[in-house]
Amino acid sequence: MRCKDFEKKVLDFIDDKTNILEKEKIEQHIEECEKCRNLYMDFIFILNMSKKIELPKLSEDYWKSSIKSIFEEKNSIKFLKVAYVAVSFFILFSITLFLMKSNIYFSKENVLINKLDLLNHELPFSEEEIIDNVDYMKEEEIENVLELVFESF
Amino acid sequence: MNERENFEDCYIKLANKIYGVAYKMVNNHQDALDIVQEVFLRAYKNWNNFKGLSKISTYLYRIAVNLSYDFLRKKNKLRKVENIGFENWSNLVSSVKFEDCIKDEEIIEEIKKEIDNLTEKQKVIFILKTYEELTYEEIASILRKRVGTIKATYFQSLQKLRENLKKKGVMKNEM
Repeated sequence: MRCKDFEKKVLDFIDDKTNILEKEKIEQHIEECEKCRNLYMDFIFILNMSKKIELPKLSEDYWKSSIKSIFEEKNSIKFLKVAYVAVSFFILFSITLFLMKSNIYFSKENVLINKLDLLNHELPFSEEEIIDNVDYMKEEEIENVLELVFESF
Repeated sequence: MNERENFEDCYIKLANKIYGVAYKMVNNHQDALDIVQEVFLRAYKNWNNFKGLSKISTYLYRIAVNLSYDFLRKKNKLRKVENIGFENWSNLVSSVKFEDCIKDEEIIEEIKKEIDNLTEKQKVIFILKTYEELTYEEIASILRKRVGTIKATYFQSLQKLRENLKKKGVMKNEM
C-alpha cells in the first residue's frame, strides 16, 4: 500500500469501516511506514483527547422547564401578529374614511353644485374666476366645468 | 400525540445534542442556550411540515450550524475591532513552548483552542463527526455538500489540528 492510499483510507480505518482485506493492508502499512504510523497515532490521540472536552451538564429537567419559554415566545409572536393586523386594518380604515370625507368636494353632486354656482354667475367668466373655482378640482372635473362654461356661451 | 406533545418529545430528545453542537461551535454556555432556543422556536413554527424524527434532526442540526456560523461571524467582526493594535498577540501565544510533560487538562485546553482556530467549515464537520458521531452521509445532508467533500474537509481539519498542536509542542514533532 502506498502512503497516499493509506491517507485516503485512514479515516474509514479509524471508524472501523474497512473490509477485512483493506484492514489487513492498512495494518501492515502502519507497521512498515513510520510516517503513516505517526499520522494514525496522532489522529487517534487528537480524537481521544477531543472527546474529553466536557460540556456544561444540563439535566432533562432543565430542558423540560426551558421548553415553556419557547411556547411563550411563540404565543407572544402570535399575539404580535394579530396586533399588527389589527393596527394595519385600523390605519387603512382611517385613511379610507379620511379620503372619503375629503372626496365629498369632488363627488358628482358637488361638481354639479359647483357647475350651477358657475352658471349663476354673470357670464362670461373672467379667466381668474374660472381658475379660482377650479383650483381644488381634479383634472377631469375641471374639464367638466370648462365644458359647461363653454356650452353656456 | 398532538402537535405540542410531539414537539416536546422531540425537544427533550434532541435539545441536548443541539446544545452540544452549538456549545462547541461558539464556546459559550449562554450563547449556546440562545442558539438552542432559536433553533427550536424556528422548528416549532414549521412543525407541521416535518415527517419523521431523522429528518427533523437533520433540519435542527442545519439551523444550529447556520445560527452558530452567524454568531461566530458577528463575534469575529467584534473581535477584529477590539484587536486593532494587537496583531502580534497570536504570534506571541504560538511562540510559548510547552513542557514535555503536560497534563491532560492542558492538552484538552490547547485542543479546544485549536478547534476554535479551524475554519468554520472544518470546525462544524469536526464537531458533527467527532462529538455527534454522525456519518459522513448525515453530515453531507445537513450541510448540503458531497460526501467526498465532507471526508476531505474532516481529514484537513485533523491534519491542521495535528500541525498546530505540534507547533505548540503539545504533541511530539514527528511528522
